[in-house]
This record gives sequence, structure tokens and C-alpha cells, in this order.
Amino acid sequence: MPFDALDDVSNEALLVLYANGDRAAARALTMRLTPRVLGYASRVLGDRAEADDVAQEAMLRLWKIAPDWRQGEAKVSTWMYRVVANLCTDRLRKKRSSTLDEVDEPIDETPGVEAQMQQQERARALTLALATLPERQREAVILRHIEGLANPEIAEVLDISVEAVESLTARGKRALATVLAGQREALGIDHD
Amino acid sequence: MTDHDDFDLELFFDAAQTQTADASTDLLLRIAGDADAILDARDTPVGSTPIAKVGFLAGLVAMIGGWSAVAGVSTAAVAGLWFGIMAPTGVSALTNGYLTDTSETAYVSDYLPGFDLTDAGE
Repeated sequence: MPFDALDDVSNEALLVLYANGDRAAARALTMRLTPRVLGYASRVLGDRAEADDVAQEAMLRLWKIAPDWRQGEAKVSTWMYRVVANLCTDRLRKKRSSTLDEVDEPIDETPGVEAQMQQQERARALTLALATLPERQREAVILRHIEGLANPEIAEVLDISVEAVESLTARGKRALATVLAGQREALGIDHD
Repeated sequence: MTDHDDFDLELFFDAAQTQTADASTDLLLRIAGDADAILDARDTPVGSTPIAKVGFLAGLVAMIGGWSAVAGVSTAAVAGLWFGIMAPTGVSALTNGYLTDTSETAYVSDYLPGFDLTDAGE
């Protein structure tokens, strides 16, 4: 089957195809899901090498669960975010002593050197600020404001109520604003 | 939180959204390799695992009941050898009686000193 032919197939259908032995479906899922889970893990962990490991482990769990996947019960992407969140939690518990200086540089892709550098600096400052948040707040803010998930989906990922998600994101944003307020000038943001 | 703070944060979130985490080719290959390995393992029939070849000695040992049986056979062989070398006196006398062709005849009383021929005749 041509690779492009799978572009319009849903994640859930691709997973069923893979469970039936379709290796092209696995390639399509790999290309589609890996950047998302890697980006999320990178932001939560602040460590690219560890994020790589988490992404691979999360995808491995997806391959293993494929034969038992029940269509209509959950979205593959939601399930993946949940697995990544749990894996990140495990890793963060093991390394409480990480320093902010170890946060990797974000990867650039925007045109215009000055604008690009400013975007990079802001993204880096946000990553550093996110690292100061309690783990659940950080995860909720990333899922809501960077990954773009809706609150009910975040509630499913984090296994909490929608109200708890709202509370976490509100408190997280307040904390981020406080941390980032002192860096406005350095980041090219006007005061008024 | 003021509206101004909200606006500031949106700038940061927008910046973060433009920074994509490009997966390395190595990572993508590892993940695809895992997917293939899972399928390969699943597609391998359970009975297709090659059976280890049994050597002649191992087959022989198994045939007589395993290594414990081999130990028993060995013990019996050593015991037999021992009896052969260190034959009891009584046995020597008996075998000499049968195997030697001399004038000295062995009598029952030689082996059974308490046996009385007169009693036997009664």
C-alpha cells in the first residue's frame, strides 16, 4: 500500500490495520504520533534524550496493545498522551534534582533571524518557567495551551475531573506569569 | 491575573507551539523496528521453535532413566568389581571345590561345620 494512501486514515483505523499485520500502518502511525508525544515529553521533562526514550516506550506500548484495542472507547492520541504523562511522572520522580540550566534548546523552524531568535528565547523561557511548576500543573498547562487539547480530554489524560483541570491550568498560568514577569524586557515584551 | 498577563502568556505559548520537536531518524527507525519486532514475534508459530538436538550420550542416559539411573548402574558395577577382587573365604573354598580337579575333595562339612551326616541319614 502506498504510504500516502494512509494519510486520511484515522489513528484508530491505522492501529487496527497494524494489529492485522499491516507494517505500513505502523510506519504511518510512527510518523504521525512520534513528533507529538516527543514534543509533549520534551516539554514536561525538559530533557531531549529522556524524551526520546519516553516516546519510544510509549509507542512500544501502543504496538503491544494494538490487538486488544477496542475502537470507539478512546482516542489513540488521548491514550498516548496518558501513557506519556505516566512515563514522565515516573522519570520525574526519579530525578528531582535536575537543574534549569539543563533544559535543551528548542528546535527552531520559523523564518526571519530576529523573529526566530525572539521566538526561540520565549519558548526557552517558557520551558524554564514550566519546569518550576508542580508536575500536574505543568502537564495541564502544556496539554491545554501548547498541545491544544480540550479540558475534557486533558481530564481523561490526567485521570482527574474537568474542574480539577481548570484549577490546575489557572494556577499554573498565574505561576508562569509571575516567573516570566521579570523577563519581559529581555524577551522583547513591552510593559504597557 | 490581569488581561495583560494573559496576553503575555499567549505570546509564550505561541512561541512554544512554533518550536516543533523533530524526531531524529534514529528514533523513528527504533520505533518502527519495535513495531516490526512485535509483529514478527506474534507471527512466529508457537511450535516452530527448533528442538535442541539430543546427543548420543544424552539419548542413552535418557533411555535408562536419567543421570540418577546412571549413578545406580555405576554403583552396582563398582560393587561387582569389589566382590570380584575381594572374594569372601567361603566363596573361594566353594569355587575351588568345583573348579579344581585334585584329590582333595570338598565335603559339605567344610562349608557347613554344624552339619552332621549321621543326622542326614536318618
